[in-house]
Formats: sequence, structure tokens, C-alpha cells
Amino acid sequence: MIITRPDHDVTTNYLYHWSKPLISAAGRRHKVIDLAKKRANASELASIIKKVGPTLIVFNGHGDESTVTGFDNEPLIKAGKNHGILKGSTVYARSCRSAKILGPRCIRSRCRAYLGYDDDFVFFIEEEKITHPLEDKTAKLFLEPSNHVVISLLKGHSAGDSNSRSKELFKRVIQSLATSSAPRESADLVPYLIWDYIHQVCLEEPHTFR
Amino acid sequence: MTALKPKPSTIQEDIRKLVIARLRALPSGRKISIGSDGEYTADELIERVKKNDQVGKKIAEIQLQYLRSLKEGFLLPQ
Repeated sequence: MIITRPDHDVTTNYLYHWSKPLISAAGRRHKVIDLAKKRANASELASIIKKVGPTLIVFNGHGDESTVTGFDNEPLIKAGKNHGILKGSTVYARSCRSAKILGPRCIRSRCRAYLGYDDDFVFFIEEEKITHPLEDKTAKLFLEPSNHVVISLLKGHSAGDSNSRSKELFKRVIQSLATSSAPRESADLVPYLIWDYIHQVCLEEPHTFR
Repeated sequence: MTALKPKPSTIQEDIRKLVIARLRALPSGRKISIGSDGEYTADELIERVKKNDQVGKKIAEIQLQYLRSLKEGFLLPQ
């Protein structure tokens, strides 16, 4: 598994820390190449992909419809430029909107599967936990279910199945917050969790699974 | 006699008021990470919704999608 973890602003700092459980989950069974902080750059990524031919690539960072970015928002993969380097790999991009244009382009170029978001990926943070992201129980509501995509892939589940399992976890969190016994303030996070649930997609040939 | 239909601009204004009311209910001390522009408090989001900029429109979209999902029975047990 190759994982990119830039860490140059609050959002990427949270994703950087919340990717640690993924590296732990890979354990000894999977070789992990951790492109953390400044190593999350386009040239190093291209070089590593060419060298190891990874089965799984996980991107954390910002992005748009046709791009996922790394450290300091440098484009790592851009549709029409270098998306072909993902050929043969399963990709999970925890970034905004890249499943809209980049994902389908990757699938057409024989990427095995592209999991990501066809609109913005949103999450809440607690201001007082900003220096300890893994202790942030609000962020956990969003980032643990999204982590479950990768956890499931590492366990050997198919891309479509991993997406479903992650979404099941999202739904369990949503339903637990929506009950009358949950604190009112938690219930107000439900619209944002539903948003991530709806926009997390798995693209594969010949079908697209929502 | 034909029923009076609300003007689209009235609907937009009603939606904006609804979204702002929902944002006011967000707990204090939390921020949302949305897009590449950074993180926003509830008060900052309310300003964005009032300005109707990109972030404000996205928040309104999220709230409307939530209401649609309720109508479609998203939270009902399967």
C-alpha cells in the first residue's frame, strides 16, 4: 500500500493523524510506503508507483473534480496529465470531488477501482482538540467510517464490498446520532454525515456502485 | 380562481432562513472542514450563506440534501 499524508494545514493534519490507524492495520501482512508530509509530492509518488506497482494507493489531501493534491496542494494526479500511472491499482482518495472526473478517467485507463467522493468530503473538528486530532470525538464520527474503506480493502474485501462496509458504518453512526437519546448537538451533525455517505462512491468497470 | 404561487426569489430567501436557523443550532467550539479553503465556525458559515458565495451555497445544498433524504426515509430502519 502506498499512502500519501501531506500535513500543511488543519484539514491535512487531521487526515495525516487519522491515517495512522490505516498504517497500523496494514501491519506486517502488507508493505506500506508512507509518503508523509513533504514526501507527498508528484515526483516521489510517480517514482514509487513505477518501482513497486502497488495494488492499493490511498490519497489524503485536497482536490477537485480532476485532481488530487499532496504537500502544499501540489497536484499529485491530474486527469489527462498523469492519471494513467494508477493503472492496475485500487485507489481510495479521501479528498474533495475527485471521483467526479478523475475517477472515471482512471477507470477508463484500467485502474482496478476508484473509491472516493463525487462532491466535497466534509468533516467537523473540535477547536480544543486541534492539536490532538486522534482525541477528537467529533472528527472520529466522520473519519472512522471513511477509514473503514481501507481497513476493509486490507482485509481482502472487494472494492465494492469495502465501500458498502464503510457506508454501513456511516449509517450506524448516523442512526445512533439521530435517536432521541443522543445529545441535540450531535444530531445537528447528521446532515453532514449523510452528505459524505451519499457522495462516497466506488467506480469500477463495468458498473458503478453507490 | 388560481392559487398564488410563491416567487422563486421568496423560496430562495425561505431556504436561506431555514439553513441559517439550522446553522445557529450547531454546537459551539466546532468547525467544519469543507473544500480546500479551510475550516469555518457556525458564525462564519452563516455569513457565507448570507453572502451566497460558494461555501454558503454548498452548506445550503448539504441541508437540502438532508431534508430530501429524510423524505426518502433515510433514517428509517431497514
